[in-house]
Amino acid sequence: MKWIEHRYLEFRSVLTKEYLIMSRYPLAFAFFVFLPYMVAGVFYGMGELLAGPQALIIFKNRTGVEDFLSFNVIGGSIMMISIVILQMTHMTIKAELRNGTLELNLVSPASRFVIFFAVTTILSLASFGIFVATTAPLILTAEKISLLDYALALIVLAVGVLPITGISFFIIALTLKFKEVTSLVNALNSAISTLSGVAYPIAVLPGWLKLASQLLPTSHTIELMRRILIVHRRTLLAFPELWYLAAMCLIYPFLGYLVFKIIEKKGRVTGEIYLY
Amino acid sequence: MKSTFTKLLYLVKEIKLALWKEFKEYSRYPLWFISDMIALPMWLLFFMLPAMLFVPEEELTDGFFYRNFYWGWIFLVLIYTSLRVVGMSIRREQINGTLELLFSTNANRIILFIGRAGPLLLDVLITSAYTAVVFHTAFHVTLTPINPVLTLYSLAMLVIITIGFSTLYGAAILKFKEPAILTNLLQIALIFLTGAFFPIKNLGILSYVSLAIPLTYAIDLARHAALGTPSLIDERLEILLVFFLALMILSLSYAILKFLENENKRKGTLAFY
Repeated sequence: MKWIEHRYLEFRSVLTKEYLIMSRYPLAFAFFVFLPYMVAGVFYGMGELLAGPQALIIFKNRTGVEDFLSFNVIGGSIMMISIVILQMTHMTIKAELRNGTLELNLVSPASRFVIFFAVTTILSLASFGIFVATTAPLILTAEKISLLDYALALIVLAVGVLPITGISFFIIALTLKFKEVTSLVNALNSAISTLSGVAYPIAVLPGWLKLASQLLPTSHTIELMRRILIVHRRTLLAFPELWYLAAMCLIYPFLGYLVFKIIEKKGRVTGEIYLY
Repeated sequence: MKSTFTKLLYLVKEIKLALWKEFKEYSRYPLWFISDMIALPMWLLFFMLPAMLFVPEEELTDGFFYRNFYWGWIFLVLIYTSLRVVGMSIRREQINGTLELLFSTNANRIILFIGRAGPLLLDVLITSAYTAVVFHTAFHVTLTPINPVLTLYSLAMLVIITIGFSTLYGAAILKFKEPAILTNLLQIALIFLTGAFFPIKNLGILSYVSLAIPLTYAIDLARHAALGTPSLIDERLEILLVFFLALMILSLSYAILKFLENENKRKGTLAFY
């Protein structure tokens, strides 16, 4: 019982600390909410420049997408969530390393897993906030979306965020090992943004990239969200994407934690975990 | 009085030292290079694929769309990279507190910071070649420029003109210390207004603004040489114009940088950060 209480207190304190740090930057949150609309605007502008006033009609004919804005904003919000979780996890750990406060955490009797899990949890919670704030204008102006659709979308988001958290454990491990991996995180974000079908159906990707996109949780989350919120299909369990996501929920966090555990254990022996 | 030969020799030595310093620093972070190899082509696809869906399918068959995007992306990366050469170097030295040391030497002010161009441009060259292979495999298009010599010339002029802009940015740093918003605006405006991805006539009334930007002519010449699009003015005239514009902007930006440096030294504000 004591063990559970201690882990809970550790989790709560790290969560509170990270929340307080995050709440210092409300403008960053506003930026993440606004960005999917900006990206949709950029793509629309690009289409106008390339094809003139016919742009949206051509887009609709080629993709079958009726609601260009919702299609893009849903994709953009999931992209932002993935970027926020991965980038911020890395930045948080890097800041702790740079400021020398990571050692304070590591020498305490607190569970390392709980410390890092709390960091990723607060970001996952923030991602729900981003999603709700981003999609709110779409929901409020839509003709058909019901509360049930929205609740289903939030369930899908909860399932979709878990594998991303798994990837973020991998990022933590890389940060502890190599310290300066910002560029690698950027590369990972670029690959996730491109291969997840943020602004286009995955079908337009060339063959091998299409295959790679199937390995990303964001591809399936975006696809499911669009089906629920735009096409209003609610038979969640009938979608293979949900099962792919469920499998990723088991595999990615396990693999991420495994890599983290190996690097952390080795780092403690060699002492490299404390270097910066 | 130093002879012209000695002056040139000093200049070459300064360039060599600047390049050596930057290559040394760049080689400390091999992950940067690997990440660029992944990120740059990925972002290209991120923007190209949705754009592709705005174009009727029959227009994609001749491969012009892909070539246009690939070369547009090269221009964009070159502009983005060259803008970082002088301006960002000044900013970095300012943050590190080494700017005063560098400005107390008698080395040429642009050469001092131009070394950064070495690793950055090499990076662009390798990534462009690698992306061309990816493009060829994915979309089965050949990206060879129509006139390779003219393409190289116009790209070189494009880099020089952008380094001129970057020097102006460096001068702005001496004046305003933190012009991050200015850089972002400058980057977006230059890429949009100079017609890297489309003919400037598509910009409507804004095309008059484009015509006032020296970089527009270098990009127009590069598009003409690489893609065979009609040039804004006669080809030979544009070749000459671009050369003079490159010389002019470089000299002007150097003069402004030098003037602001002297002003800062006179007022004792160079070391302010």
